[in-house]
Amino acid sequence: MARRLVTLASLLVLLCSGCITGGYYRQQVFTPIAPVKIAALEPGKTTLAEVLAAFGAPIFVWEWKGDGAALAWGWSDNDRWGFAISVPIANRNATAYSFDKLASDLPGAVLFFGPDDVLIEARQGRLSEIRAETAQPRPAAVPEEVP
Amino acid sequence: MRHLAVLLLLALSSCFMSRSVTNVPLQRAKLEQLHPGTTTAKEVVEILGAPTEVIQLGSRSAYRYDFTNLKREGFTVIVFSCLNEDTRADRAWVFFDSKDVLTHVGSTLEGNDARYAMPWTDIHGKQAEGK
Repeated sequence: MARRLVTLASLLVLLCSGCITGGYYRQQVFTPIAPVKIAALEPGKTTLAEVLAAFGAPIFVWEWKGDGAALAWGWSDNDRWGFAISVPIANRNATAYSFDKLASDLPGAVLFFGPDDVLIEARQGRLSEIRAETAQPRPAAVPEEVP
Repeated sequence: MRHLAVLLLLALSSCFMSRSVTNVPLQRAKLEQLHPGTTTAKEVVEILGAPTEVIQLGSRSAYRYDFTNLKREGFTVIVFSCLNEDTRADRAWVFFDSKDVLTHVGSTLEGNDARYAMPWTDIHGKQAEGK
């Protein structure tokens, strides 16, 4: 009996140390844009002002084709069952909350506007992928020479 | 032995709640002081403070202001956990022309809508239908 209690206690210590966990997880991020609103967009006609009034503020904005702009809205509601095994190998925390990282991984809608602030194109998909395809890299500023 | 098992189950369970915020909530009254066509970038910064991000859009520009509110709630029974994370944000983007005069303002004030809840709870109504 004593040996069984010791075994049970040892097992409990391992389990309760948090090295092995499992469960049900849900992550809800931002409010989605209604599909009917996205479907109502008219390239060549819908303006930036109309979109901002209907959709609210985007998550990201980036430069697109010179004086044009890409505006991105993202959202997510995911749930999953799972388990995790964690083994601490260093006294370091690498899980700091990053808004930009979280948001760039979201699926959503990206709207492209020309210099006249009229909608040219609307795309749906993962924001990070659309951004990688359409953002134009800016050259780094040339450092000024000290006289 | 059965009583011991029940006692252990109770003793080894835990509930938790946590909150992470980024920046401070945006104020509707301040956003209402911004007037496209007249307000300048300098005045926007005086009213709203320093932006989180400044974007160049060709000869134009845009500033981002945001506040993010993440609430987590869950429980653990020995090794089984349930966890819900709800993230909402206040966001404002202000757009300027090449002369730094405000042209557009877009705002979303939902940061305080984040809720503590269990993962099976429908905290935002018919979320899938969108806003």
